[in-house]
Amino acid sequence: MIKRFFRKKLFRHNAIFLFLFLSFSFIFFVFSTSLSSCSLKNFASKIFLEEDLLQEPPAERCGSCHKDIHKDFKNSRHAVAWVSEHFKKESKNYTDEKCLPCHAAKPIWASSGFQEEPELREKHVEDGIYCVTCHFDPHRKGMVGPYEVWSPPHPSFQDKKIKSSELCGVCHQQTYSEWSEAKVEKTCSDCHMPKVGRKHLTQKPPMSWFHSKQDVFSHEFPALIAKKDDIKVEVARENGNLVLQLENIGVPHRLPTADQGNPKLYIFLYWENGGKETIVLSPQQESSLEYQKPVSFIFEDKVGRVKIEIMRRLSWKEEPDLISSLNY
Amino acid sequence: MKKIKIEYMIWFSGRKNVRFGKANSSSLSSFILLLSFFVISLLFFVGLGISQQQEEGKISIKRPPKSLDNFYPPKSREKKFLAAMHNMATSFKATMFYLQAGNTEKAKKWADNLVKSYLGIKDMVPEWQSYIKKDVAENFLKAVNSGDLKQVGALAKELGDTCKSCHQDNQLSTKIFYSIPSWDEIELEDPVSLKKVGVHKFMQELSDSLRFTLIGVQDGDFSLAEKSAKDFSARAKALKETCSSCHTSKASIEALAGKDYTAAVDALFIAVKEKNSQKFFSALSRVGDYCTRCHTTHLLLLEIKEAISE
Repeated sequence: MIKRFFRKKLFRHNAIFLFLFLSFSFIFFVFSTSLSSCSLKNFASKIFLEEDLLQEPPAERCGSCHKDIHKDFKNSRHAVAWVSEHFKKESKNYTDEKCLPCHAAKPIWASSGFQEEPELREKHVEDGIYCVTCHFDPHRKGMVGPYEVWSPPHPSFQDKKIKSSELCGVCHQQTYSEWSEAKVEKTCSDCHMPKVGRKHLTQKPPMSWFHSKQDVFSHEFPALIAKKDDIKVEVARENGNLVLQLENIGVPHRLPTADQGNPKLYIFLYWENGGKETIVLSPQQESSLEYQKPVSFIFEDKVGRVKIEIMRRLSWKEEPDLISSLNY
Repeated sequence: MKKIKIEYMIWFSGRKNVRFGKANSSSLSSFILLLSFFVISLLFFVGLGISQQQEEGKISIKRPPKSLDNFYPPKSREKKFLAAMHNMATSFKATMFYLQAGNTEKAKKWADNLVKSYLGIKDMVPEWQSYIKKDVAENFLKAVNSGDLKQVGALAKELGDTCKSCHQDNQLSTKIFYSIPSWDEIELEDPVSLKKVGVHKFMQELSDSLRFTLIGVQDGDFSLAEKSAKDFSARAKALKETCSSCHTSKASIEALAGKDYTAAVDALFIAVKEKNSQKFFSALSRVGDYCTRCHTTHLLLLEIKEAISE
């Protein structure tokens, strides 16, 4: 009997508590989502503001709420832009001043638009090109993103420019200029920040409960590999010569591209009765394939079938990856 | 001291005119002019330094003390030693300026700054402590405090002589050793073997392929010449990749190895394919201009640096 009494009473208490909690949550949700300029919202923003988020914190701090995006970022080349052995060596143990700003840049937002050149920041350089570099605007003193969100821990500003190629072009200047010349609608983020799904932007309750799901894009910034169809290959055999014509028809920048790195595109020709030719194309030789500009190579034809292999090697990798293999 | 051996990979005579590519704008010309001025100035100072240290026709440039490595790249990004030198020069100038202007208080502040930096040198580079005259520095400070201009003048000269003595012995070698970039760490892929090699090895391969082209052409063996010219052409173009290891400005790369350089290399290969010796030697001369340009900029001082890097 005593047990039943307690069960009943506790149940009743729990029910009341649950009812109250849900009521408050509902009111809070309605206020926070529908009354965008109301004083309650400002009040809540002050109460929940986490000051350190506006002091250019390390990536880990942003990752305490934006867990999924941070996890994604940790797998990116941006995350190791400073700490990679490759960069340590190339920058001569971080003493080559010219290299440093692009590998640990301060926030790149200017009072209008973006800075013309990146500047080297002093703290958290080991985070490389991280959240603060692209999302923190020191002029507006808040985080910039593609969505209009209410985020009490820090002010947020919706700005579509965050998805523009101009943002990437602050550091990737050479590639940006190639992309501009290509005059295509696709932006850098269209290819290098593919959609990963419809998700919550944060994963830390209770704030994450109040977010609606949004399209979330990859923060791994994949380098991608050209598809077979991105390079048009034409072979003509005339007067004892084999004329190989290559045209980059699918990638709206040089293939491969780089500002200071040295990726390669290899074209190997193997004749069935022996004989091999190699072509190495690289952005630092200014020989990599420009968008929609065919290039021809002439070889002495050794007769018989010829196999053409196209491979690429990324700057920081030792081994090349196969793009396509064709027989003629 | 290791004998300085300067061996040019290629030394062509012939063309004297420097050719630029399409980017032959006034800014590019200014850049070349500035670069030439810099190289000439550097060579002048090398010459001056050498003559200062010449003794019966012997050149004496030695590697700076190891402890100085701690204040220059690649060990340190902050050039603290150089900053101390500049601080001394500024402090000295300010001390004399304020003394002459009758502002003893500011003169004292700057003199104190000067002496602190001066005495700090022996902590930074203990190997150079014999150049530092503590008593002279302290007497200079006392003289500034007293405001006795005549005494300050005499002690300033004495103090300046200790700086001059150290500069005469070490400034040139220090500038060469720490300012001339090292090529040891730079690797590039040989487009013929597809193996990564150091710059020295690469230059050897590049040089060999050109020599064999030359042998082939001179002997009328155009099969050897064509194969070697093809390798040379690929290597000469790949050599451009080393530029971006240091140069972030496309204009500076264009000036030393731009489109005209690539065109000259292509012309050499085409001349061999066409078995045209006259065209070949003409193209060779064009390519040679670029070799000379780059070697004059980079190789001469690098040879000296390597010679003292034992």
